[in-house]
Amino acid sequence: MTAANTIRLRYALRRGRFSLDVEAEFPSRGVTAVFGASGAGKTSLLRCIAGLETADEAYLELGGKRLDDSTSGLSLPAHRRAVAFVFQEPRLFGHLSVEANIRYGQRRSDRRPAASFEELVEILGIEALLTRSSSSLSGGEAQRVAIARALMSAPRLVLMDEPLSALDAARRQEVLPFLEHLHARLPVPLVYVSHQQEEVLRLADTLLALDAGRVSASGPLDELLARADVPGLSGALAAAILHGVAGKPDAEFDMTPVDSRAGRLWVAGRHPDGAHLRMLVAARDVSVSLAPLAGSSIQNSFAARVAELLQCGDGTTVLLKLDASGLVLFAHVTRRAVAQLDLRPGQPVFANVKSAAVKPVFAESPPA
Amino acid sequence: MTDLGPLLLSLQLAATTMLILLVIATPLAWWLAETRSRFKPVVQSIVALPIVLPPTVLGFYFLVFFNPNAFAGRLWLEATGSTLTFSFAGLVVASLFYSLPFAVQPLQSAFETLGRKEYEAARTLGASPLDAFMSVVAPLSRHGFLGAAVLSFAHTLGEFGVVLMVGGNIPGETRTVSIAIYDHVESLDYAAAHQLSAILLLMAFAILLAVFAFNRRQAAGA
Repeated sequence: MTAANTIRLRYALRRGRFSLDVEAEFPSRGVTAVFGASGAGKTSLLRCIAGLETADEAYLELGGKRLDDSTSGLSLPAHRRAVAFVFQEPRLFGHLSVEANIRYGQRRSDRRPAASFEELVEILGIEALLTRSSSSLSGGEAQRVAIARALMSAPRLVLMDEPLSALDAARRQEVLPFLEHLHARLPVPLVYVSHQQEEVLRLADTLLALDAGRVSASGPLDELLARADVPGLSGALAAAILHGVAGKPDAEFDMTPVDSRAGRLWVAGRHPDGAHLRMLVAARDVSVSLAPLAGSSIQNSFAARVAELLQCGDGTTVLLKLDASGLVLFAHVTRRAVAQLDLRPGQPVFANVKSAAVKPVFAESPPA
Repeated sequence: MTDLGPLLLSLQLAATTMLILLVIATPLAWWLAETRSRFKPVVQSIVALPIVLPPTVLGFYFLVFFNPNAFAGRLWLEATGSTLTFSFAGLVVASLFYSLPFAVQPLQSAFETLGRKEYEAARTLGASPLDAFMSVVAPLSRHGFLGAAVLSFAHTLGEFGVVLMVGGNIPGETRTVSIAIYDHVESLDYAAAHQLSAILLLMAFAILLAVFAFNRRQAAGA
């Protein structure tokens, strides 16, 4: 990675019994998820990056520009960083209209936002709210307005601290697709804090796992998932991510074939021909068989080989790590099934993936 | 006909004091609401002193420090050519101390209730500390400003002991309405005392009514 497309940071601070000591480097493109249990230091790290907290040792370099360097006494004040922050709560300015909220940062920036006001409002689906008072919105609406407000300030970097955590499951499903669209359409790098497996898997390109204020793992998400040995990660994120290119959709059945390295995968819904898709295949949606299934509703079957058997904490299930032509898939099966099929490492099997369960997510760039 | 001079002088004193106090008390209240300094209790106690101290004690110390032979009094005399004691300017300075807690406390509690959340959001959207305060914190704390304005105005209007000690009873200069009422009662002119007292009573009621009505509308409208 060159300095121009890298975010490099180091923060160390001590607050009573809590200490944070983080050093990391990740691409200044796409979404970097900061994952970890509560109290791991995720919020403190974001507050340091935003300039809202002063660390004892601080270094931050964003695309070749230094914002923090405690060795030379450099610490740009929060308002001169162009680092926008979406908090857990919307924090809208209750005395201003929705539109005035969104334009607050834009009026104070001389940079050009990555998307126009109209585009952003459309992506986030908030056209109808613009003239409303910002104190009259629902939780999901307010958080979408907060996201638009952050992006209109033309940030170099956007930080989001569990932006969906204050919402109930239904509202979360309302906002998450908008975040995916943003991810696909905007070139602004995003650091996204979450302890929700689904959000991380659907949004992140890069993962930074924190544990008790230290980095426990970092790197491209698919590589980390495939390793399945990252402490505190494999259990919580038992899923594989496949990249592929969409083919011609089947209009009659509303399905799209996607060609990945493992083979052809049919996914639900219609996706543009030629689009690069990222697909999330959760371990619970994969089953294995010794022969190709006949007379089954399963649409996708790949030849694979058992790579590893990972015992799950509950004692009755096993996480199978499968190698499908070099791609890693996980299957969550019972110990009983393992015994009946006599599954061992190295054994050839067929991995069967339920189409209806595969969640395709647009990817903004072809997989590297 | 009642002599309205003392009433006008009191209104002038209260308005001047209130305006200057809003400028002084705002940063002080913001600091008190935000600080984690170990000097906070000390500053807070000094600010709150006039609430518990007898006004005559406050007035006595002003007399001691503002008289032309004292350091502060001499400085003022050299700078302006007039004495601080027994003058309108002296009354304003004394009132600033006397009514300070009534301006600081509503503001501080408004800032504490609001918290740092919106302020921080504004900072990450490119607003300098002053800009974030003026464009976000101040409008969201407007009931605190209203409370500070009304209380410091009303408290200054009713000031008696301090004025008596520092200002004396000079018509047009330091003879405020509460001194005038006291004088009228002393000389058994109850009719004049009644008139001034009734005006003050109505004014106080009208001000409070306006404030409570405003707060009610805020609570309902927001």
